[in-house]
Amino acid sequence: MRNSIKLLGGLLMSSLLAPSANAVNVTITAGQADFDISYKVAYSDNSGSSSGAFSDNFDYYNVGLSVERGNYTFGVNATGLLEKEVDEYVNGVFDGKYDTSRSSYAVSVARPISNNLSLSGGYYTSEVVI
Amino acid sequence: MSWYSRVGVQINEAELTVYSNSGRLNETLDGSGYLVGAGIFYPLSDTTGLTFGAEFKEFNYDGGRWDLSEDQTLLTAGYNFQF
Repeated sequence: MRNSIKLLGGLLMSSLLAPSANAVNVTITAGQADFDISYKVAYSDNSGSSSGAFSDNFDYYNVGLSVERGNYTFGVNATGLLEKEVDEYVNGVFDGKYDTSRSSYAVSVARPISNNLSLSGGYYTSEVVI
Repeated sequence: MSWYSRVGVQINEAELTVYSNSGRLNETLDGSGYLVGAGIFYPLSDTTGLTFGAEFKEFNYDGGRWDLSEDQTLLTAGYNFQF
């Protein structure tokens, strides 16, 4: 089975440290990011169903840019997956390797609401292909 | 050196496409998620620094025909340049 999952979301986040203004950030999750998706699919009431999980540890990269304008900090980020395969398990039993790809993009705006707390919101879109 | 933490909630919409023996199937799922994380910022100079953090995310989608959930545990190392 080949799944293509597109996730769209709005992100509301509070932070105890305001994001750096006018900054470039590069982040790597080297072999420490769990990629764990479980699914249950029933094609119709009486015919065909499937359940299982894709699970693996992956390396992600993330690059971002944030710029401060007045009391607001505007940010963009892009994330990608370095590995190209994921393990599938059906009822806990390894069922083979599948090609995969993943990317995500986010835009956000943040504003400090106290000396140590900031509030941010944004839009995030991600696509997973297995 | 300073530390930070963050918590968040997310409202999701998932467009799921499955290529099965019976053909291509599509469905849109509504879901929600949350994240918690914390880390440290280690300055290297006035304009550069390193961040080390940990974050957990969980997303869930409940549909009549399709259920989907995802967990992520992220340990990250980052480089920050201010201008």
